[in-house]
Amino acid sequence: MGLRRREMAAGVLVFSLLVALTFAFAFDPARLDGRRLMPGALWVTVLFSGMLAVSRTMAAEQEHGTLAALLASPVGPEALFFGKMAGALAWVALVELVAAPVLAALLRVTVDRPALLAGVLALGSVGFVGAATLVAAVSLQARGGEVLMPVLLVPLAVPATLAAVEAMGAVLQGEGAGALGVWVRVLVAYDVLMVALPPALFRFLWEG
Amino acid sequence: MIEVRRLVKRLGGRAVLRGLDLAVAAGQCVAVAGPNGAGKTTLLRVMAGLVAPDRGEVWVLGEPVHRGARAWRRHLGWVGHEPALYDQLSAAENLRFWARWSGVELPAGRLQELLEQCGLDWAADEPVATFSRGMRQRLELARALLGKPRVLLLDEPFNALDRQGRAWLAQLLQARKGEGCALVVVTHRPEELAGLADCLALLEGGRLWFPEGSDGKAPTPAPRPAAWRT
Repeated sequence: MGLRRREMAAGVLVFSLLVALTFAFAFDPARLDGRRLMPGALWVTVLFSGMLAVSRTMAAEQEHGTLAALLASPVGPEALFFGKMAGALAWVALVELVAAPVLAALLRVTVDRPALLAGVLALGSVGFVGAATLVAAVSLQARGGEVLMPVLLVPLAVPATLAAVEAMGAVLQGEGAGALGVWVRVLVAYDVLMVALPPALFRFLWEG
Repeated sequence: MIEVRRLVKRLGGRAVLRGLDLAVAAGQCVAVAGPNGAGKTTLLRVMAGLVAPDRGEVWVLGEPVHRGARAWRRHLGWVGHEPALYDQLSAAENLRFWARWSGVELPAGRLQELLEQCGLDWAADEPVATFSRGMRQRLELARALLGKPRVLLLDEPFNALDRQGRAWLAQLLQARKGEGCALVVVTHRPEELAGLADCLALLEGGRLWFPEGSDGKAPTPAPRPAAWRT
């Protein structure tokens, strides 16, 4: 549903391109190793663009008055969580598809293991989006929720972001399974937590 | 069909509903009126399972609303204060979406029938963003009737409808009532429900008052207030 909002798509994509370009031009790839810069630049882009997308899709349900009708249906709040999470994942994947090639080109990074990189991006995205969906739902219940969202989400997303940056760095720098494995395990554990915990909390959040 | 027992709900430290009782039988319509902020919408939201009570119980179709399975919601039609519609979708797409979300099967012709019933068949493929407030309200009612609900909870359903629309809605609700549907209608203008409601309940001070005098429960069968009889 969210993908139909052209103005939102434009806003999120332009914002992600702007962040990616700012990073690319702030650092001189001739002097610095682009493979070290790219993971951080990409995840900052994903973090901010993803936050914007998730908070808007959730807030739009309340603005349209559709939230109550969604919750009054036989489908549980858990389904709403997974639906919102799936939509947000699509947004984040779109941001990654746009920002990653731009950053790679501008920072002169060659990706030797694209499948592994995609896997790391997917693992990082699932955990981040799970946390963002939960925080967006919490923020919706609070006064000034959209301001509250980054305050709550950034600390909560730190483990996923750090692990994703480190894992992506390991992939780009061609490090072995040992260095990569540690961060992948952190990402998997975080993903499991962020997929299992929020659905249970959703019921308390919305049905008190 | 609907039973509310000793319902207490506090919002922001204020007791909005204070030990409220209500019973609505099949084929009965209860109009709930009261001043702004009396808790009419909160009562409806508690009955729909959208807000948990602090104390007391709500049972719908023999199921406890705030515990256990959600299957009873398949038989619930809910119309909130604002139409629950997606602006970027057309009227038909909105109905298809809500049918899928609620697990309601839409046999061939049912969609067209619903759109015709709410007088929007000519605008089936128009995006809801282009609809007037009255058209949205008609579509919202079609949405609530998708699963042929046995219980209808309606918050100010006559809002935004013109005279013709109000007559159409009264007729529609009368037909649902005749089929055994239990209705609770929150309204600022109970006179709009004069030919439809069996019982007027006034929500004031966190309690329901029945002008005809009762023991705190809507009588079954509820007499229509004398002032409404024609």
